[in-house]
Amino acid sequence: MATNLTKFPSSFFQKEELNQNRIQPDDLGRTELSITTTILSSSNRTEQPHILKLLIDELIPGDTLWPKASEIGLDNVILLRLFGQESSALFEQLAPVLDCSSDGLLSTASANRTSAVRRFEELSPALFEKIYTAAVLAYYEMPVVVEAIRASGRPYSASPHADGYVMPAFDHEHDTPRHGRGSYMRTGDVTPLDLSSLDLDAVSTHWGLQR
Amino acid sequence: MCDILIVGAGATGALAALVLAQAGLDVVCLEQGAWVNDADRPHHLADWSWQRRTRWNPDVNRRDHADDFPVKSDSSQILMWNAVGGSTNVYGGLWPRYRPSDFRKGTEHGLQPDWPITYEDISPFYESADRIIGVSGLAGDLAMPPRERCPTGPLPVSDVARRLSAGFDKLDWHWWPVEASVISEDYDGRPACNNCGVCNGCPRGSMNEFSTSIWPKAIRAGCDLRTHARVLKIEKGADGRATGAYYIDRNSDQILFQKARIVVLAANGVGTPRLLLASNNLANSNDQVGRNLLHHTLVASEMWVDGPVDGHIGYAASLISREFAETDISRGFVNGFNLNCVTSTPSAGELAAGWFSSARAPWGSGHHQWFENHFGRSIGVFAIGDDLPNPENRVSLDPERTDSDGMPGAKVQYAPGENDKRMMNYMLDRLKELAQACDAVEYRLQDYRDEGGVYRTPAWHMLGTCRMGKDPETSVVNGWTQSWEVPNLFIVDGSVLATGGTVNPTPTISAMALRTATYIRDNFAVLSTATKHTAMD
Repeated sequence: MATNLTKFPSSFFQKEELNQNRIQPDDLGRTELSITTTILSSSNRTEQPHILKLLIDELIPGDTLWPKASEIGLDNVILLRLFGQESSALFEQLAPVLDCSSDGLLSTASANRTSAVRRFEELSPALFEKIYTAAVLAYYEMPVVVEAIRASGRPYSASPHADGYVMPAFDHEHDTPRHGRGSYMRTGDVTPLDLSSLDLDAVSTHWGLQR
Repeated sequence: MCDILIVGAGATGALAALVLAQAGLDVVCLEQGAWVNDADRPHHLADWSWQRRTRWNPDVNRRDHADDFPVKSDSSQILMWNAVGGSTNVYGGLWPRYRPSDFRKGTEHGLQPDWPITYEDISPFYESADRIIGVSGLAGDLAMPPRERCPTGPLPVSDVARRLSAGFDKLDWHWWPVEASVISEDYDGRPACNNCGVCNGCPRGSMNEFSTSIWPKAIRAGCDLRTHARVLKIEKGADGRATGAYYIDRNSDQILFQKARIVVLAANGVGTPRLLLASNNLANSNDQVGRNLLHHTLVASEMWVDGPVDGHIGYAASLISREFAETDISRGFVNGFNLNCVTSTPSAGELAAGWFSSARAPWGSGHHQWFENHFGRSIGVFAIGDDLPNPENRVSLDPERTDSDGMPGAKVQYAPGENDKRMMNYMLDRLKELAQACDAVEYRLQDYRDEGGVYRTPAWHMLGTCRMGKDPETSVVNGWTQSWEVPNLFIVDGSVLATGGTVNPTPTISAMALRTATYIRDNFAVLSTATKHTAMD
């Protein structure tokens, strides 16, 4: 039986003060951008969703097999996932880094639109990464896209946990390894090694992919 | 007053509770988190791949959850889950064992300590844990000591495994089907794995989650499991024994004290040292608590082959290669590593967004072509090795941040040492050879270094921070995982491992927890009044 304490040392537990120190959620880097910019004027608010549609169609365009991103409503999914009730925040952040002029994302020339997106990627890689990742993950959840994957001939379920996939059971006769490789050192066989050749204290190894 | 107070309801807390409650002892377990309901899990939802990066992200710093505590790290991605079942709610379920030499590194080269126990001491508990869990796999691996037949047979052989095994054969390297805490046939009231591939915990129960497989039994045996109960401090009496723990009932905001004859810490390799340090530096007169943090050396490769292998299907892991598990000085470093071969991501979106390496589908006109060329053809391989301890790799208290109940957060420092770096270079070279032997048309290596060169390992494994040993000056607990300083305080989580080995540690941690719990059970009368630690042979 636990004892309810009525005189716990106040210095040990100061909730009011401590709660001020709670960490704030990273939330995929939501707080990493602090762009001071002019909010797109209310007259342009109706264009905002259109701009996002144009952007995601540059990221994931369509072809004969695959729908383009805006066709399947990806813009709304992205807004919901990244910005929830604060969708205007996306456009506040996009405004200074995404060229929405008639020579940029609104251009009829594909090369101009691609350049505008590439410039956005260079100017604001974190925001670009956030939007692109959200777009890709959402895109491949969409039923029509799942159907396109299946049409390629591969088995694929967007929610595989429910039914799983059929696989043949392990066949002991055919699947057991026959290579005969492998050994291990028994407890009593472990003996001291001569490490003098290693020079672990004196050398500083450059390591990794850039070595 | 209870007989046994367990702090933490993860894998080891569950096993300790099971053994001790079934023995008729009065067991209380305090868990800061909640139960994870099957219906709450992302597996059933359309956006499960998005959830794996957000609400269900295993990185404690990448999600916002009141059950967590902040962990400030200078490098590591801290992967843990604070709930009933602990990190088994999101783990992958690989279930390989340590090797005899892992317990004898002090004898072998002296850069790590010998364990105070041997492989032979722990072997029976490996078998017990396997039976409780229903481990799947295949006995007969020549690279390991003999073992009993696995409770359930090997999982199906994937096309990924066939492709990899051909590559290993070409290189004349060892390989073997991986053991897993995933049942290949119905077992203990749970259904066999259905090969769904979404192996981040498992609401079906096919992958052993301790919340669904172990905890119900422990509770039926009488264990009092209290959720939303965050322990604030372990209290010590004048006789040097732990008297119990202050904890906050997070549902009512009441601070309570639970008296106990024996206290068992099971709060993981970060949580346990954090709690000891926050408990007036308990069990730490030698300044060893929190030190010698081990994560394993870890690098990886992603390869793509010239035909479909459908790596999104089946259990997430396929083969293990123990070709390099023992020390070979001619390689230029001590210790060894294994190749943990996984399959691929079960999510087309994850594959396209970037999964195992820096490779991902490009935006724009090439997006769909990339996807068509890569989907179903991806294979992932981890190289996982035994990193050397460094007292400066450590867990300490965060002087700035607290959790929602006022407990100081944890601070983690970790950097690989010279031996570790050499090993990881060697690993990367072997991964390249394997990709070539598998006739990969493309491969991408992953060293987990960021733009600044910082090694940001995905730290699934947080070990060694209250390590066991023979010497009270250089270890925190003895061979029974009993505190040198507080004789009725035991630790059963990964913090007690003296070395990290070359494999996923949960099987060894589980076996150790069973061993400690059995020892407490069999010696309860003495331990419940002892004022000195047990003398070890």
